[in-house]
Amino acid sequence: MEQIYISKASTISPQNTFIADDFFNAEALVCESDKCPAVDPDYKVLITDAGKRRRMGHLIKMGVSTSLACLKQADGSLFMPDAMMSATGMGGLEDTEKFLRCIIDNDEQLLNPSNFIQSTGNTFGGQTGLLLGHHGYNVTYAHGGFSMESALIDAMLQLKDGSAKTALVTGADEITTTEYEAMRKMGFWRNGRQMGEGSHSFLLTNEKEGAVCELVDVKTKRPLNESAVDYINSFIGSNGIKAEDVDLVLTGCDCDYAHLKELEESTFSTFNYKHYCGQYATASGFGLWLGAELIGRGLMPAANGWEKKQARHIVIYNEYRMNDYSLMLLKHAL
Amino acid sequence: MENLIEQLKQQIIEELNLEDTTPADIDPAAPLFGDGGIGLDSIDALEITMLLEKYYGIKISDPKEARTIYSSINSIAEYIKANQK
Repeated sequence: MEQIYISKASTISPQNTFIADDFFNAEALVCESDKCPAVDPDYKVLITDAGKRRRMGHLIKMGVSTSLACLKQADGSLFMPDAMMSATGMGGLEDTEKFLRCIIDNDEQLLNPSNFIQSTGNTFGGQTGLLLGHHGYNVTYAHGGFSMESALIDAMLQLKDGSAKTALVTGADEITTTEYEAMRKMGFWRNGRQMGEGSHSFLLTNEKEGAVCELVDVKTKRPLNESAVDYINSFIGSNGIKAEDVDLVLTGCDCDYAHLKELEESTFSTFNYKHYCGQYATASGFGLWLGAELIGRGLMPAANGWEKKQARHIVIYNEYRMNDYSLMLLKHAL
Repeated sequence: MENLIEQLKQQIIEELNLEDTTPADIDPAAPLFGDGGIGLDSIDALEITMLLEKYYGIKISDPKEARTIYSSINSIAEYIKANQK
């Protein structure tokens, strides 16, 4: 069976992650507020065509920027992947809200086409494809808390059966004030839950050379009818890995109780990433980016930042709204 | 008329999200669409139609008529002046 490698990764998140060196040269600070907006790079520099950029909402700018960063080669040209998979839980929510407002205000007449175009979930994948002149496979997964995982599984299947040799996978979601307020009124932002946003891109390939790490497996489960530790043990066991071979579990728990406590009290070394990126449907992409970068850079979380230590295996455990539970296994590309 | 032209430029910049354009960059006599102007497209034409209804209460439903009216900022301003109630 073909191995799958992450050859490049790029992330925009509530942390200063777009230039990864900046993130790993400083101490990562947890988000203090229950709303964690992304640290935006200068989109004018990244998407230079003002005519195209003006039709891009925040989600699209984030998604296109991390996608292009993943594809940018040393000579400045863009690499053309065989396949593109995008993932979003909510799509262009800001433009969806504007479009719905327009429907009400204009009594269902004269609706704004730009807001409609930008509201659809597949827009950032489509825009990236248009910018690249990509005519290959380009699919968007809008599968709630499993969107990122579904896109990754599609890419892995295609790389394994030879349908594609390279695949760009991007997951993105955005914060909007309306969603934040609606969820706040329902009491959602408590028990440590914070609303986040971001975009996470990964270039997957069968080529080991120059790889950041190996992406061994991705699993989803809904609901979780066992303990989190049993879920992880069964997952790593099915991949021939023992608990002692796992150097770190990146816990993306939905809130500060139950499974987080269970995992922190287990024999696994853990690092909870949700307070660094907040909660959103594709937040597992932040965990995957963090895990891949830690292995690729030979770093591990330490008390005040990061320490030099090479991890062999990292598990990313993600929860979304106490309903969707996913696992990803990364391996050092020895 | 001069005030109306400046107001229109500002509204078009905001509604069409022309983030790198200032009112001074727009020649009121230059074509809005295609080469030689600010290069707007058919989606922008729909947005301008919405803008005219929203700010000036003017409804333009005939595409042929719109083509003439939307040829420049000056022609839109003249149409508003002649038709605004």
